[in-house]
Amino acid sequence: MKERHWWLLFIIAAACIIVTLAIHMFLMHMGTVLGWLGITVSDPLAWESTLARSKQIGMAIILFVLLTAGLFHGLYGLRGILIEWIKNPVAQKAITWLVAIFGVVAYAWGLVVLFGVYTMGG
Amino acid sequence: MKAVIFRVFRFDPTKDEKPCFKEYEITLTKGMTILEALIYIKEKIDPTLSFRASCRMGVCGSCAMYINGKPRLACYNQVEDLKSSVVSVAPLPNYPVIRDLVPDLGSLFQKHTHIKPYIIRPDREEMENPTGQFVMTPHQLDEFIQFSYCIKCGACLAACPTVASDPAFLGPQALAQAYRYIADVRDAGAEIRIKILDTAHGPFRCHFAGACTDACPKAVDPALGVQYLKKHMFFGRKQKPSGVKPLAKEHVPNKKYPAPPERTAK
Repeated sequence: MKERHWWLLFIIAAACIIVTLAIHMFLMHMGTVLGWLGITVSDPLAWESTLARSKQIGMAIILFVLLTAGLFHGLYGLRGILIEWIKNPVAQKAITWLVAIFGVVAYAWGLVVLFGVYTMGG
Repeated sequence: MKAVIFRVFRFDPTKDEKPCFKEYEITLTKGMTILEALIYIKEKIDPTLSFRASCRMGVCGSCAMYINGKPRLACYNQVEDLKSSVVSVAPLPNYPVIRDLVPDLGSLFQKHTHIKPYIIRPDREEMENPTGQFVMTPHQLDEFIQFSYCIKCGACLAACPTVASDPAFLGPQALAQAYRYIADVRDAGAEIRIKILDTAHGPFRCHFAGACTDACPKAVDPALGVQYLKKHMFFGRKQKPSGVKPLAKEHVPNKKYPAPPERTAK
């Protein structure tokens, strides 16, 4: 993978975040949003609602995309800032590796949590 | 005649610890440029002032300076047009200072050279001993002609916020020139250049500030060049250079018109 491919993924991740974050925000706050339209729904943050949502495969996919895109987009951006901030080329290479390692660990942790939520309650 | 105060950056790294600004009062003459004012200061007030200039008509790019908070050509701007009674003149930012208003443009030329700013072709023999001419349509010329107006004054790099934070960033000048040669139908060096450009300090480091375009005294749009370059790096087709077989035909005289006289000058 060359720099241009990483950059392209960074842009695609941004587009994915816009869509999935919008869905996430709508679902989490739909009570408020639908309230504006005069529709009353049960509290989306209530335990039963959260459990019911976490069982849906569609929701799991949305959270998976949000986790993948958000983590990659954020860490690639962070790497860019650090590379500009630290001028030493050796340190820049080390930053890339450190960010990559941190990303893999955080992603694995995120996936474990995501799977845990999906399988929660048997 | 109106008097104007010139606040001029003074620094000699071999003697001075810190740079400072020195003030000179000048009586304006009609149409006086910044460069003419500086020449006046050097000739009549302070001969120790150093600055770089050559053509005095916005062609050579030698006299680019940081004038009233913007990179400009000193020969291309009249003092009156600045509409200020105080004119601040400093060397271009983002470059080390050699002395006073003279920046070290080494990094500009190094980056420019790095992207191989020349036509690269596989037919070296034809390049060195041409048997004809390479054909280019006006449309093909339009693809890159504006980028070839670059005079390498360095104003775009001085204005670029990314160069300020990342000195290794190739910068708008080199990137726009890379596109200029890649877009040239006579060139076949796109892959070689893309290999050079595809790093963390290449076109993808650009912050889209557009300050380079704003600063260019020749109305080149380097920011556009950077975006075209990115587009080419993803969607550009593999180039086949034009005219590998030179297309020029032998000259056939038109019988309608009389033949031109024989050339006698050697």
